[in-house]
Amino acid sequence: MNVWAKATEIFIFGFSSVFFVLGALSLTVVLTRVLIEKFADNRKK
Amino acid sequence: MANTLFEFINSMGLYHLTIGNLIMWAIAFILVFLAIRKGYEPLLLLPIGFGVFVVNLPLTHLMENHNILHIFYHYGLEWELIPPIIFLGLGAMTDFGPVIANPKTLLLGAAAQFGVYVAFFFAIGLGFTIPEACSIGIIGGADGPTTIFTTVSLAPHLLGATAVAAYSYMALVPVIQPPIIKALTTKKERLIRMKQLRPVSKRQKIIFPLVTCGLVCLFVPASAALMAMFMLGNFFRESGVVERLSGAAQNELMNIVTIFLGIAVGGTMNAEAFLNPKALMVFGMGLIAFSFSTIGGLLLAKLMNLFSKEKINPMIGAAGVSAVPMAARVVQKMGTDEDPRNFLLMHAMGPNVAGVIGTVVAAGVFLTMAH
Repeated sequence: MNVWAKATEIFIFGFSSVFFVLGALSLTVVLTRVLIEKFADNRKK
Repeated sequence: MANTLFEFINSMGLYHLTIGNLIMWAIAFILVFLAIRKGYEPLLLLPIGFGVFVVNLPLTHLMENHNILHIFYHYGLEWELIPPIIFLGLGAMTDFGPVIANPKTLLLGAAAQFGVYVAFFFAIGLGFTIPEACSIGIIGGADGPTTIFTTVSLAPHLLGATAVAAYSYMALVPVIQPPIIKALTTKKERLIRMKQLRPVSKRQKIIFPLVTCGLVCLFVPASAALMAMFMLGNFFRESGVVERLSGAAQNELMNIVTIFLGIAVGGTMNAEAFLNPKALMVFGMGLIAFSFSTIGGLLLAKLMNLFSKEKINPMIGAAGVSAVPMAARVVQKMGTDEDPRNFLLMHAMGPNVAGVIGTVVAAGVFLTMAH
């Protein structure tokens, strides 16, 4: 495969993976917070 | 008699000293000078400088089989042992509270990997192979252990240059970043005050390393060695029940492996391997990588402000360059320079630690795709 084609492939997969993984982590942090707060609230009630 | 005298002289290192060795001594002196006089990353640059000095003493063979520096290099770096152990210590030192309190800062850490890919393309353009370009690009992550981990695996002959470039530029973050930040932000933007971060519960802090480790390793298994150790260290810290282990990870263990890492990296920098145009180009591209990473973080922060009611100070995007905590301190200083009552440190710590995770993910993809 041409070097530039391979490099472009690495860039597309690499940079989008960084955003995808950190974006997913961001959503998971929010979700975890909601679940914890809900769980804690329920226990208080 | 004359023959014996000649053999005796021939057995002396002095007889075999080359101009290359002398140049490398000068480089060693610069590194040691920067560490002692300027205080630039002394924990690494001092042992690296000493390693450069001793490995360029002729006939010592310190980097050959079964000699001390080679043993550190072989078992510490070739076996990929030291970078994950350093990550264990870093995890034990890191407070992910600012990231958990403001999760969108994780995206700023992602954007600040932009320089990794800019330098990667530059390197390809200059004729480096893809594995070499990956090792050069990852310097832009501003993360020494990750740079070493990637380079040892993909382009071990560039290890000295990439490691020294990464640590040198990390130390130079206060010089490199401010002009870029000023050029890309308006005074009004630099004056933006951010709402105080919400408190984060202990439970959230305990869950975070488990979730992060699971998520990152599921998507990018090649980054597991670094990520698992990073999150284990943080799990020690946040669990609150293994203070001895947390203390050992961030103090004794970290200090010991830092010595081995520094001297082993310095040991790779002999004159034959280091004095070539490629090493100089690595340094140039390291600067490009750092600069574009800063730009990437800043621009995403500005973009987020276009769509968000609650404005963020775009300077915190620059802290996504994961030189922890140096990049966050630069943002804090620039914030207080504009407005002495604007405290941005904790806000900047979010993208700063997110940048570490982002760099590990970028490295994992390089390791997966470049082999």
